[in-house]
Amino acid sequence: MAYETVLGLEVHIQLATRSKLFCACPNEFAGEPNTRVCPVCLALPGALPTLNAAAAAMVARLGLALGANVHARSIFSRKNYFYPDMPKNYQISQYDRPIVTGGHLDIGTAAAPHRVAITRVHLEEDTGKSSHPEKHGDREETRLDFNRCGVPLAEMVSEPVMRSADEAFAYLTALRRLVRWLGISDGDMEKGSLRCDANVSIRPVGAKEFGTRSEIKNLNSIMGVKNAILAEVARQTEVLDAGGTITQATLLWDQDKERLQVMRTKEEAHDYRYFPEPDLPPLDFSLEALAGERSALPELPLDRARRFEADLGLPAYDADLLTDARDLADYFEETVIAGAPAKAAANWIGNDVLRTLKETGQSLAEFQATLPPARFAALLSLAAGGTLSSKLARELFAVLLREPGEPADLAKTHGLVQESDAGALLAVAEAVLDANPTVTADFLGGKDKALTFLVGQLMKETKGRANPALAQQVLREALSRRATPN
Amino acid sequence: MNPRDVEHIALLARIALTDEERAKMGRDLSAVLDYVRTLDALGLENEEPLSHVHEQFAPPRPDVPNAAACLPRDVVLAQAPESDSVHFLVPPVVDTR
Amino acid sequence: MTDRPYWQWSAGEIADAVAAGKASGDEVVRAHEAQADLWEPHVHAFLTRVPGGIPSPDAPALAPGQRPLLTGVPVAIKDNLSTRGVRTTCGSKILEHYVPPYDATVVGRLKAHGARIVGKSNLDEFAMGSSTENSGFGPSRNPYDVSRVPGGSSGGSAVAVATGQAAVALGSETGGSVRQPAAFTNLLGLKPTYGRLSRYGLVAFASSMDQVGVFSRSAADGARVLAALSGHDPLDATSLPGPALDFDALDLGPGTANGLVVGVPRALLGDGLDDDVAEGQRIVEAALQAAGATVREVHLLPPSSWVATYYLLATAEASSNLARFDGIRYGLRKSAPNVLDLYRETREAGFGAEVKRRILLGTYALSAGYYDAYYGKAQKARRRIQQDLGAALEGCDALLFPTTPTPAFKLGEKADDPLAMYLSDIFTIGANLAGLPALSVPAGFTGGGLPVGVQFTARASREDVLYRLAAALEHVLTDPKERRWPTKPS
Repeated sequence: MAYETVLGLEVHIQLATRSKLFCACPNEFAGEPNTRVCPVCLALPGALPTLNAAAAAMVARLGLALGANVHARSIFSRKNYFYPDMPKNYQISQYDRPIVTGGHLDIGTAAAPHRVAITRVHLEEDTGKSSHPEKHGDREETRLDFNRCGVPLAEMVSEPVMRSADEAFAYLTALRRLVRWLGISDGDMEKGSLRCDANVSIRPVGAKEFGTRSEIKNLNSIMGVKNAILAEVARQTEVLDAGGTITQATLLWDQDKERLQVMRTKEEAHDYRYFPEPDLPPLDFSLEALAGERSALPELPLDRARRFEADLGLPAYDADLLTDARDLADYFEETVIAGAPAKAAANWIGNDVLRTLKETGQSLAEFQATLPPARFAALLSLAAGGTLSSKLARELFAVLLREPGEPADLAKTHGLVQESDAGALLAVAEAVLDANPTVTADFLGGKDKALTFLVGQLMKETKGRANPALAQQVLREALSRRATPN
Repeated sequence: MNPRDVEHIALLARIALTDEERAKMGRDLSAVLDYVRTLDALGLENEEPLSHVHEQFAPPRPDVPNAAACLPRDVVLAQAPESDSVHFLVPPVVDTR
Repeated sequence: MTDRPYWQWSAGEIADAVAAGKASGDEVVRAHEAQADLWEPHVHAFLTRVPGGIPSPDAPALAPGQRPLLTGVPVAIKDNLSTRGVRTTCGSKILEHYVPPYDATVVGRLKAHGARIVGKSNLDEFAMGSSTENSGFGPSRNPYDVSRVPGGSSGGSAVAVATGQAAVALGSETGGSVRQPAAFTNLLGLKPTYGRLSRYGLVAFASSMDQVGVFSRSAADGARVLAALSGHDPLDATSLPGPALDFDALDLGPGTANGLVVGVPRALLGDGLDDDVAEGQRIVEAALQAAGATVREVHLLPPSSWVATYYLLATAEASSNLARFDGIRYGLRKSAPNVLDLYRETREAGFGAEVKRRILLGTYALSAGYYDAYYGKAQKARRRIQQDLGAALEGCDALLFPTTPTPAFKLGEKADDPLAMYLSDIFTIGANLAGLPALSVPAGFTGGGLPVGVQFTARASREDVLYRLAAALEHVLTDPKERRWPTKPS
């Protein structure tokens, strides 16, 4: 029996605001346990929430980038359930009136575009952290840290339209890129600023009804999501093939053992008793506010890639590579604006710059401080203009990363200027021919390949600084002068 | 309301009622719920629900962190029923049912 | 002034004298403490007394342009308002030893205005009740007859002001918990417009109705406290925008009710009304006319719908607000091998019967399959009630009708009949549902010496009308300086 996989992803995006969602505690990563809490996020008696304007704006921004409906009015609701990492024993979230509904995420490339439909995006607060139970004497204990309570989350739910683990992988990669692009999150699954639950079911190919789905939690890498989905699809396939039925379950993915396990604890069938949050007003976006967010929206990755293709003549592969992150695209574009040829800039960034970043562990921002776009463009112009061979250009690149100064000046002081004076080269060519009479005679006798050796010798004599094309040309000229007229 | 209904609600509300309490609650709740039927006479089908009595709200809070609003950890843990001076301690979350 | 003891002085007299250096703040406090020593064994107003008053080294600053209004004034505070470093129990065993690390905004503002907070007063547990009999630490008693209740849930605060243990007091209202005890103890009791006073630090019962309320023995004192505490609070998102009310701009002179129109819903004052309460209503209507106001009839929905609506919405919100009392971060904890049992045993042991009853009712009203029939329906009824009261107020400046159906009842009389207890709130609940300001004022005494009260309800944000009407009555009926104090039992 052939089965089709049906997938939906629920992603929690930690928003990079400066303060928490409902109080003014700083929103920072980690920190000493229980040092970033106040009466509000600790849920002391009498404390009240106040909404962080920037968090709401970030969700609106995400909604606009997804081409979704960003509602003029949305409502906060209480989601009531008891859990020790949730001080109020309710979570302030959004239920029937979220900020964003509809929209789509572009998960393909400029070369091969593909969209996944989105159901909704809403705003809610994060919980604290609880450790796994540990033995202390004769008791088991769990340790609670409430620093993370109240951190703002955008929960984004896709339609159940994905059909493979690879598609889920591409979705998360694209979402990670987008939230970083928009500056609303650093989208790091390992750090927990992007968390994903997967809803997985299978059905016979051609069937209209959905199968029973499992929910997989505790996924903390994009690759982990893919592997967990593959494992669950395999498990469900086995069950159905053996004639069994799938029971709705919540599963945890064990990253180290690379396997699924059924959750030990099970809330009774969730009755969250949602009702509108009385402590918070409805969230309103004025037309001006939305227009402001829309006009402040940066050019989105796919649009920018397409523009690089159309206006700058880049191939799709390069356009996609350069729009992997907004700062990278900016660096490229600023370098081109500063005078560098587009294709050269694309090649150099795609190869040399990215490799340097990987080797040194620098961020692009740190790299850019040493080699700002104008300086980089100067280097690339020298290379394009013929003053530098590509080999010399790379040597100069290394110099520029170590020393301050204009590329043209540094090229001269380090003797990296390509020799392009035909007259000077001619003299060297004559000397090379004099020094290699046998090879010269071979060439003159018809062995064309002998030229390569002679070019090599000339390059050696000039310590690599001769313009290779010119070197060849000059040698031919010198050789032709020595040819015996027939 | 029968004791089983009451027990279901008591579980949602995380309260361990005694048998005696459960029986009395059933009677008390039924009396109140009966009284509540008076609302049916008002003909409310087309009425809009009311969540907030006024619409005069200040705009949302600007995103300015205030480290001074945080409580020192010793104050945070001072009221804790159990702690290790760094974390709150609780027994494991296990469904015993 | 000098022949009356300090505990009989108004808050205004105290503030003026202490600010001018004519009276010692410490002596004023001591006089009130002496009253407490005399009365407390009989009435139990306080759960925590603070000798000398709570020190205020870290009082927040006044807003620019404000002058201190409460210098040296002894104030009692209901024990569901958070006070830094001073035990705050909410009348519950689950918080018996809880000491908050922060002040409620209104507490901070009292301190900023120079008030002396003399103690935390008794209440029905988590403000759920109408008699203070639901306190986890024993009831309070009505000083006019100690076999009777002082009302609730803010009973302790009412008793403190009625006996001169404090000059004014803060309580809280969700369904009448300031107005009803005020009516039972010969006081003025204000429920402000919803959003008028910050709820930050008021332990929540029903978030969409809760408001801090003010007990006083005169209109001027109540208005003074309201002015000191009002003004937008950025920590409370439901707090009305705008600055504090201007006490000095309020006209509380004899002619202040001239031209005001008062609407009376005659249909509410049916045959079942207690005779003394009906007489109180008549006296006040006559006095208003003598003061230059006009009284006319208006129409209102029967208040039976009010009670049903209130008990569905308030208990639903309460069931959620009280979920945080779970033995994890503060308060009582009953040890257990797992968290589920920890929750269940802690809450069973820590909450009293009325609180449990309301939590269960509220949980039920929100539960799957019942939301539309109960909570959803009640929200629709609430809009209808708000519209109805608004329509009645279109043709008048304030409504007038009794605060309670009867004077103070005996301790134990309604304790076993929750529905009867709920119905005693029948006249007060409307203002809480609609978010309107309402003020209970003394309206005489029964033959047996029990106070009777009636209440005014004004349009949103028109507390000024309420205090003007109350002041006008004082000029016609009773000078607060000739007050009928309770007689201490021997």
